[in-house]
Amino acid sequence: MGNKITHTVVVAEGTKADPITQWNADHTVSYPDLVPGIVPALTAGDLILLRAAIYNNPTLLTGLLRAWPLNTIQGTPEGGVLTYDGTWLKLVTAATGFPMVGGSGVSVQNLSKLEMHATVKATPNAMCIFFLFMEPYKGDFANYQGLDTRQGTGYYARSINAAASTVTDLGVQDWTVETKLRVVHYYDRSKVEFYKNGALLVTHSTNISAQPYECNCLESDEVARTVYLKYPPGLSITSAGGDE
Amino acid sequence: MRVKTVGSRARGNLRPENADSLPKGFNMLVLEYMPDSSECVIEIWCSDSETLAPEERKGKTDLDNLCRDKATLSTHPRSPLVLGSVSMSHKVKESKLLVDKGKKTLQVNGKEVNYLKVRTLKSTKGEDLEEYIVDEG
Repeated sequence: MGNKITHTVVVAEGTKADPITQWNADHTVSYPDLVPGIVPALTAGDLILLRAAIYNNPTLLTGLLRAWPLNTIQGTPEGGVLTYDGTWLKLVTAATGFPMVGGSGVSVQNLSKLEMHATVKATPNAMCIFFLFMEPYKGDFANYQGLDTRQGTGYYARSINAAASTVTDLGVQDWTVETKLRVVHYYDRSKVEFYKNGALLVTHSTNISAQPYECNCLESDEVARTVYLKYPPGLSITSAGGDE
Repeated sequence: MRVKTVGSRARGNLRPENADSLPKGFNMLVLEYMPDSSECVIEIWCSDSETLAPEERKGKTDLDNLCRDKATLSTHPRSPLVLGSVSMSHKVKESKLLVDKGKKTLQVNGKEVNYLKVRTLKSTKGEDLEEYIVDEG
């Protein structure tokens, strides 16, 4: 058993700090509170539900795994419509644009693991969807680690470094069923692990690109479909040093 | 191969016993977990393609040696023909990859590498890509 350091992201009212500076100071990061203008796709009622989900849940502000800061959720900028029903963030996508739920500016320094978690489902559509993925910046598909479908219901674990790919065929999955996904990237680029419903599915140790990453999920590429992200915690991250 | 597991689904970390010690260059797919989750069936694949970094290139001998690992309980008859692939991709509209479609080769780090087939896909920005598969495992 080794030591474990946990990077905890807390949504707090009225505070704003550079994540790494704050992390170095006290291992706690604060982000601005929800502001309607920051999440324009959500109605006032949806925002109230989201605030309740964050502040009324005592486990959300303590412990290890925290929700993504909500000011990073993107829906309308790429043509999607985002709503929240108290359990699911629902993103209705159109046949144009690349809407997704995601976050930017994730930077992990000298920590051994960056983990993304999301519980997702989606309406069927025999076209491309990226369920859970990391890129240095959005759209840098030459350096990518993630789970996606190319077409139909088949899906793939994909690791790309400098445009060289390792791809594992994962067969068929019914995406109308709620599915827990997790991607774990090791800072030393030794491997990336892909988990489904609490169990390891694939390990890649070739073509592992480097942190930092932007983390995103449920991106439909110019496809009309509805995708769902369970909230809380939504798309969440943890990063840790040492052994578990 | 059939191997024991560690961790649990409840903690979100159920995995093959050898998952934490898988050497660089090998990729592993879990085909199924037994109903009691105590064991699972895995496939490990690798490639010695020039498109991989030197430390990531592994051949059949390396794979045979790995499969003699003491964690292996038995071999298992269920095995897909192709588990995965290694490839090079490029944007169709602004290709930087030197490809000779007649000879079915491409240039990687100044070397000519054969490719098996091409498939198309879209990037996370929706760009059309061609993916040249150089090896399958």
